[in-house]
Amino acid sequence: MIEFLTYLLTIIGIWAILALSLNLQYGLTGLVNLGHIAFFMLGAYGSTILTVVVGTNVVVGLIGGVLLAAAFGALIALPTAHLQQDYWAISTLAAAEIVRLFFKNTTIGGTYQGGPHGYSDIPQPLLDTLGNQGFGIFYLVLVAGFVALSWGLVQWLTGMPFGRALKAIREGDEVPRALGKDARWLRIRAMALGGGVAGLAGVLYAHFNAFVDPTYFKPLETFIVWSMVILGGAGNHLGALVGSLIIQAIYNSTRFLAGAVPIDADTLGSLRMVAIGVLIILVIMFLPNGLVPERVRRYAHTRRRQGSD
Amino acid sequence: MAEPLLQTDNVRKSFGGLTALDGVSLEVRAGGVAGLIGPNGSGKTTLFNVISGFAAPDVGEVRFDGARIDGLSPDRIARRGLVRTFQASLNPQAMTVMENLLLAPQQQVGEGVLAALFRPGAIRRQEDQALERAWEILAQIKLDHQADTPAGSLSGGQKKLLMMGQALMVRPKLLLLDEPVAGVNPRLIDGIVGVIRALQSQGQNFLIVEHNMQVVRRLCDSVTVLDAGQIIASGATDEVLQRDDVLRAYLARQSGR
Repeated sequence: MIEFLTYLLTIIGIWAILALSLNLQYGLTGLVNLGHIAFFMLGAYGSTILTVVVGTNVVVGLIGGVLLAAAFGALIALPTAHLQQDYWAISTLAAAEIVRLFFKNTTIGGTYQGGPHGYSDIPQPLLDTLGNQGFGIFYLVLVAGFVALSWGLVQWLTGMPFGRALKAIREGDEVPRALGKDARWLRIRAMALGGGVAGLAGVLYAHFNAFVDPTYFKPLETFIVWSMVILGGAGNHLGALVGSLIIQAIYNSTRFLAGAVPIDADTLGSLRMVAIGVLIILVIMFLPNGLVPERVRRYAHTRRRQGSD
Repeated sequence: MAEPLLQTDNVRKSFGGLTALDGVSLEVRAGGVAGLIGPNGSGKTTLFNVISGFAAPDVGEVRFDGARIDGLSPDRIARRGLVRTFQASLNPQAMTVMENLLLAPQQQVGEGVLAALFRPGAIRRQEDQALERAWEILAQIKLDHQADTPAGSLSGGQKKLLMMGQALMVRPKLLLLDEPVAGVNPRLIDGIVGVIRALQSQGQNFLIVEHNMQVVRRLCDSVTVLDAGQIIASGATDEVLQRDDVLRAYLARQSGR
C-alpha cells in the first residue's frame, strides 16, 4: 500500500508539472496547445538518449531534456505566430504527432534501441544505493521538490509584468500591440518556458519508469493534461495542482477499486475515461472557471499610500 | 518651420475594389490638438490603421518624428512614441482597470524573464512609479473607485476612458484618439475635454477622430476633413468648419446632423 501510494503521488507530481506548464501556455497566455505531450516526450527522450546512448549522467540528461523541449516550444511558435487560434491549435496537434512519429521511426543508439522498441534500462538515480523502496521515496521527494520549483516559477512569472503582458495577449493582440508589446515574442517565450517545464516532467517520468516507447505519448495524453487544467481552473496554478490530483486519482483508480466494486478490471479501465469526461462536462456546465478560479490581483489598498488627490 | 511630427504622403489603400484612401497627404504639427473629421466611411479609421501600423499602405509614405514608419509593425510604431486608441473597446476584459493601466508603460524591465530574475529592485521601482501615475490618471478619468473592476464590467463610456488612460500611461509623443467621447456620458465629456486640454498645455500632442462637432470645436486647433478617401479641407478649426464644401460633405451623407 505504501509502495502504491508513493507511486501514485510521484505520478501525480509529474503530471502536476505538466499541468502547470500547460496552464502557463493556455491558462495565462491563451495558447490552445493541443500538442503538449510532445514537450513531455522530448524531455523524456532527450534525457534518455543522453543517458542511455551518449552515456552522460542524469543531471546532464535533465538539462538536455529540458532545453530540447524548450527549444521545440520556441521552434513551433516561430512559424505559427501569425495563425489564428483555431489554426494554431491544429498545428500544435500536428507538431506533436510529427515528434512522436519521428521517434517511432528512428532508431538512435542501435538496432533494438529507439524506434518502436523504445528504450529500456534508463538509469534510475541512486537505485543501487537506496534499494527499491528507498528509491521510491527518494524519487517522490525529488518530484515534490520539482513541483514546488515549477509552481514557484510559474506563480512568480504570473505576478511579474511579464505575466501581465501574457494575460493581455490572451484576449487579443490589438491593444497590447498598440501599446508597444511584441505579442509574437511574448508568445514564443511562453511556449519555450512552458515547453521547458513540460520537458522537465518528461525527464522525471523517463528516469522514474526506466522505460519509454512512443505509445506513451499519444494525443490522448495531451487531453488528460487539458482536463487537469480545465477541471482545476485555467489561469490558477493551484488549480492545476488540484486538477492533476483528481484526474490522476481517477486514472489510477482501477488499482484500488478493482477489489472494492463488482466490475471487472477491463470495464473499470474503460469507465475511467468516461468518468473524466463526465467530470469535465459537469465542471464546464456548473463551474466554468474550474474548481479554483483564477484570482485577480487587487490594487485598491495601494491608493491611500500612492494617491495624490 | 520644423518638419511636421507626423506626415502622410500620398497614401493610398484599397480593399478589393473599394478605395478607402485615395492619395491622402496629412500633416500633424507638434504643439496642438489636430482633428480628423469626415462622414462615416470616409476613411478616417483606415487612415488611423495605416498610421499606427495595423494596415500597410498600398502606395505612399508615413513619416513620424523624422523617420519612415510605414511597413513597421504596430508595436514598433508604438515604441517610437505613437500610440493609438480604438473606436470599440478591445481591452482585455478579464483584467482589472488597474491591471490594464499597469500593462501600458513601455520598457518594463519585468517583461523580460531573465531581467525579472536578476533585477527585482528595478521592477519594484518601475511598478511603484507606474502605480503612482496610474492613480493620478484614474482620478482624472474618474475611474479611481473602480481600480479593481474587470474592464469587461465597465460601461461603454468608461471603457473609452480606460483606453485613453492606458494610452496616457505611455506618455507618447503623439496620441491618436479614435472617437474619444462617442458613447460617453455627457457629464463626463466635459471632463475628458478638460483632461485633453490640460495635457495639451503640458505638451502632449493629439490627433483625434471625432464626430461630436461641439467637442471638435472646443478641442481642436486644426482640423482635416476627409471625404471618400480624399482630403477636402484642412486648416484652422473655425475656418474649416464654416466652409460650404465641408458642410455639404457632412450634411449630404449624414441625416439629422
